[in-house]
Amino acid sequence: MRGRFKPYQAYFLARHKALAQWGLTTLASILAQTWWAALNISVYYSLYMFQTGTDFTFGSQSAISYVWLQQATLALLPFYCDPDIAGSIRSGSILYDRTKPIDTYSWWYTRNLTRAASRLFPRFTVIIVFAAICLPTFSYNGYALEKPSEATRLFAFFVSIFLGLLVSAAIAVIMDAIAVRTLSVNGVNAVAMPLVLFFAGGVIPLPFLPEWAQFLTFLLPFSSLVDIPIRIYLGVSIDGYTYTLSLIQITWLILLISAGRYIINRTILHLEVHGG
Amino acid sequence: MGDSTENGKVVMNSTEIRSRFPRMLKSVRLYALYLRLSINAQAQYKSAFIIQSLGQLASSGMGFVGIWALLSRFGSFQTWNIYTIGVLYGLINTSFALAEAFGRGFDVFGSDFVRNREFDRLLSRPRSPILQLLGHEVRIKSLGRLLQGVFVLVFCLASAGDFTLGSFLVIVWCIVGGFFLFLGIFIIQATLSFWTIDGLEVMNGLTYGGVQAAQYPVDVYPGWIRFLFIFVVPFSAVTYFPTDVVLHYHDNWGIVEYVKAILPILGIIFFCISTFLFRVGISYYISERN
Repeated sequence: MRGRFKPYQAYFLARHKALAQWGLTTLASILAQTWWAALNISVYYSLYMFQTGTDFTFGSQSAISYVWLQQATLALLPFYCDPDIAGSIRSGSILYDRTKPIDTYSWWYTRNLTRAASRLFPRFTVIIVFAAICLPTFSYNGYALEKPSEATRLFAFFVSIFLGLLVSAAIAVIMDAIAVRTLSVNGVNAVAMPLVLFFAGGVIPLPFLPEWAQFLTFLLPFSSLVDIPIRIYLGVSIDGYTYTLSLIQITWLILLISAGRYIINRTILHLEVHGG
Repeated sequence: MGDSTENGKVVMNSTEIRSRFPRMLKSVRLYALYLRLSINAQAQYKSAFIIQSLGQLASSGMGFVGIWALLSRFGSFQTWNIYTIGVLYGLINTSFALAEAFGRGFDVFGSDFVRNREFDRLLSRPRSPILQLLGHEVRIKSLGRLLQGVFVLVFCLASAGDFTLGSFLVIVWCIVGGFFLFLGIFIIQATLSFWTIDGLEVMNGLTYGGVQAAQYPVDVYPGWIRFLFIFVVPFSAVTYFPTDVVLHYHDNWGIVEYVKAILPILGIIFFCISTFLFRVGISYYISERN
């Protein structure tokens, strides 16, 4: 039983070392995300400031914290499919993968999980430290990330982020399968990018949407990525549900993995290999 | 597509002035050829073009859905409503779509020209590298963002602005200024890649970030961001200030209307400075090919 996981584990550890590096690229994207957060926070800050008497439970502090958490977890989102997998179809190197005694679904899933997890870790840490510790230290409390009201909330947030990571990899595998079938990453990426960005709260925090629309967002898997974890952290409930929102994530995870397995098996049966 | 016919016309009427500007005309003709080649190449993949345009339409459209959701939650934004903000949104998206379509060569300069030494080949040709990079690729998929931007702009102007010849000219002038401003940002990004290729996504903060930021009136931002958008990278000069002439929100910055209407020229000045920097960058370029 233990040996079954070994190749995937080995890949994860080896690749993680390569990806989770503190290069110029990481620093640049941290800078870009902080800048993006600053722009959004300025807008929300002044929206709330000039507002008199809203009956809106999602306060300015929550909105600002939402932006920080959303930017900190940006690397988790499956914007693009794995360029290597689509490339391996064109070059023919996918045949080497097929000769290995490993399960294709698990193999692709591990690759996507590794990519998301390794990129997430350094970015998340730096942005959270900046927003939760540096900003209050220099007395910019109004723009800082608020602390969770209780310790269980923080714990539930990390569990939920982990679930979000698993959902992200499950979505990415399905995207890879589509890229393999259409022989191009462009189409999938063009469709996925706007969907993921909006439903992960990248355009506006989803609690700003009308109540009915917030319920609709759960009908797509994308809000399970980071929107639900952030709601848990902030304690923004919908009809009294907060912690239970994780059940939506688990449901989507099961659905996506089953669907992904089915699609991959079909794809592998009708594989057309180019190049050679 | 329209551009190639326009340029075609210039070339056709050129016999009498050919002697005076032979070099410039050759450049125009060459650019027209580049455009036609690039469009033909992309037209080979029709379904890819359609799906990518739709994706772009959706992703820029989401931005407007976001603004709509915010304003329906908060009512209005100081003195701004959905239509007046929509004018800013439409302007900046139209300018960006055009710059993204024509400035693609500068956007991919680091990865497609410097890293693989392809730039050597450009330098060895008897034409300006800036012209060759402009002609590298015209991204027709930017049509998605362009259509969406123009639609929002026209719709919101019809509801909130004056409908006169003067206001039409001001709006077109703003788009011209915005186009050159974004093109200038792409050129600065290309200039940086003479020194480093990693970490250039920082410039997305000015391109995509600029689009995002300039959708809102500049006075919502704190002082340092305001300073940046007025004096360093003049986004406000191509959206916020000149549109006052059309929308009459009379901000209290104390600038005369005529001056506001002229301000988009700052975008062109920014572009000129960036091409100067690019030339400086070229002089530092050392190829490692042997």
